[in-house]
Amino acid sequence: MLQRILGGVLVLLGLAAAALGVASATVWRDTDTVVATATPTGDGTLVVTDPGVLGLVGGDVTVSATVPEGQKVTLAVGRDVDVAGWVGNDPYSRVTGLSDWENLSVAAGEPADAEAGTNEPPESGPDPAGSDMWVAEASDENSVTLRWSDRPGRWTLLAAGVGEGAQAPTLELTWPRNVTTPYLWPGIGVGVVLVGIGAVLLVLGGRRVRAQRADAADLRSDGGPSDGRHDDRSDDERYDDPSAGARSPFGPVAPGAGHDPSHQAGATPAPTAEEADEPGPTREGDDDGTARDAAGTAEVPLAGRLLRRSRGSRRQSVAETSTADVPPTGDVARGDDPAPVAAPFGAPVAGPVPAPAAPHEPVPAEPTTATGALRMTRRELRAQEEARRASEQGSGMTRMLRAMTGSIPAVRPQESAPAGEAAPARPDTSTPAGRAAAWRATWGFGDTRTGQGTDPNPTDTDGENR
Amino acid sequence: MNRRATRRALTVASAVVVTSTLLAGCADELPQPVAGEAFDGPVLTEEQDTQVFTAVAETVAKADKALSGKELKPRVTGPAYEVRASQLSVAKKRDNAEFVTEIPSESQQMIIPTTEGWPRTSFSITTATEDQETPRLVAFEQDSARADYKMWAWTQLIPGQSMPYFADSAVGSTAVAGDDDSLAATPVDALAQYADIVTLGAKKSSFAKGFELPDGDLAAAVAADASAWKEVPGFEESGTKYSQKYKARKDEVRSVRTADGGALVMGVLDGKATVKAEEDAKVPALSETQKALLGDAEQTNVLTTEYTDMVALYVPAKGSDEKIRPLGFSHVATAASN
Repeated sequence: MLQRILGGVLVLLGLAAAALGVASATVWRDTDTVVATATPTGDGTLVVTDPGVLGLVGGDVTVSATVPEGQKVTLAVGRDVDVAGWVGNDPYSRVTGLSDWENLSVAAGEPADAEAGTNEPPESGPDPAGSDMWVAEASDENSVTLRWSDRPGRWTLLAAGVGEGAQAPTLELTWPRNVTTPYLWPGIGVGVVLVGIGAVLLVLGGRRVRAQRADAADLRSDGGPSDGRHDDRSDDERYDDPSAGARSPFGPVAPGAGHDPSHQAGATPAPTAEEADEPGPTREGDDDGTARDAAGTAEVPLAGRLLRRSRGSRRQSVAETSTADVPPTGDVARGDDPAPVAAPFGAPVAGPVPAPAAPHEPVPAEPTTATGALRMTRRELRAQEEARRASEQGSGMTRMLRAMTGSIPAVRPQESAPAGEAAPARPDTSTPAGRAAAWRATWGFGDTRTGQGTDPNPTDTDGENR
Repeated sequence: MNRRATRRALTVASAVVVTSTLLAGCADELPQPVAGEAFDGPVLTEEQDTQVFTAVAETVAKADKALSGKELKPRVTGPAYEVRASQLSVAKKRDNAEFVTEIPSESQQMIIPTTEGWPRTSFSITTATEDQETPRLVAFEQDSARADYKMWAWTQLIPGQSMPYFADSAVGSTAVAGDDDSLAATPVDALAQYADIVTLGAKKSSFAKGFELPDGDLAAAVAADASAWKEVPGFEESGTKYSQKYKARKDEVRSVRTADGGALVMGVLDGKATVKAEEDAKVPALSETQKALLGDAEQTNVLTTEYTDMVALYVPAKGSDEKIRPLGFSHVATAASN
């Protein structure tokens, strides 16, 4: 169980890691561009960038400059000396770098000729457009855009508001940025690994639980220490159906062994013998149950109930089958086979056992008919009752749960077919009389009343037996 | 328990991933501008220089078409403007542009300066003209940072003269000051000496030994002018005197370093040729240009013709075995008076 929880947690963590990885490359991904603006300060109509500012973030930069409506603006890129020479002693704003990711730092530019000092701002903004020195330039009304790919050297940008009453333009530099997504594939990778590990744990955990259930189911439905349905059947035949012994070459021996009168007589109540017969399953099943209960999950007890129920129905069908087969056993009764002898001893014991159960258990499934009562412990009867209740309460729900727990293949084949067959032959066991009749029929005591006529092949059986 | 420990480790790991992802966006440091290498190459790219040349050629072509010196203003300056404007006005008066110097609009070699300050001068050697005249050597000057490059001077290369080698246009050539003393003669001195030679002739000038004068240089052209007058019938008999004086302008010198450490020097010589006949005589204009320059002025016994001659010299480095060589010139009468 812990494994499954851990598996689930790992799967969730894995999905989360993968989601985070993807998110880091999508919603949290940095923008592909860095956009920084420069608002000019002070006097002048010129803005000049320091060398290196154009290539600050990336090699390619898109510069756009904006001036108030109705004015002209020019952008030009040139060698730093050329731009400085062109600006001369006019006042200008100097872009020195990024102050943050969205703003450029701007300072007042120093005049080229410090001694001469800065000129008075010109009345009309000079236009750098058309100079032979620029390697790139653009000029337009209101706003203009210029693209520049950085190249070796100290290239600087000159932006100028042009004309009467011009103002220095506001610059906006846009760099495409190579955004890396370093967490995308690691995130997905870690996620996949975690999901994988989690899935493995889930599957393993699931398998273990299923295996436990299947074990429990096998053991309980077998009703014996040995595994396999054949044994299941032979058990029933051995104990419930003496006629089987008549068919089998070992028949005389098997019933004798199973119902050794001395043994049963010694161990006064049949249950004791029963428990001695199947020590493994009973204990194991109980242990499992306790272990599962300790784990604190609701599933398992439910599944166990289902399994018990299926076991009960199986037993019931078996019992019914044997009831149907009872007539032939009448032959056995006539013979000196020890089985019938054992019955009287068992009968009194079995009698009281089914009786209290009867009120709660209506028509179906009266495994206590005869031998069923002999073999069943109280615990088993309790389980049987529980299973029946569960099946009565919500067959749809339980079917669904069964489907969810994947226990169908283990249960269904035994559950459906025999039950269907057995149904019509079911004797009325709701009354003590009926039960007694069934018991008698099973053990051949009803022989005198029911007669041999119902036996399809008495002579064959006799012949084989003897 | 072991599994629990594993789970805890995984939780921690995923927490680290989440946290670092969230922080990744904000952690980038602001880049600081890094100024690249200072420029030490040519002030213009070849492309830009070609554009300059093209702009000049277009302006000149426009002026030529309009026969208007004013049209030259945007792209022509200095002696080139003087000469060209004069040529155009003569052409307009004569209604004939045959004496207007053709300047090809294509360059075959660019000599681009590395000058940081202003003025800056670049040179260009054009292709040959359509009628197979020798290429022109043209100087362009950017007077100030906000000025355009303008044609400052041109000369027609002297046939047979080999040009010195210049630094590649991608490297740039250094400008040479007018008083640079690393040369056989400073550019200003070289021009003055050449003016002396032109004035006096190779045989009489004391500077001639420092020069290697080709057959077709300015001195020869000026001598040919004198000869032309002297060959006029009755020139000698009438006691007419011919005198000429050429003088270099000291402030209009543009020089650039050649690959061998010498310099290409371009300058202007102002020439004045005077024909003085005896009193009452009348000296007619000899050339069509003189006629046009004189216009309707009445003829007198004196005819003064002024020339604005642009010249190009190669001045070798000091200590070189070579001599100063005239490379090209332009000999154009720009004024005449009686």
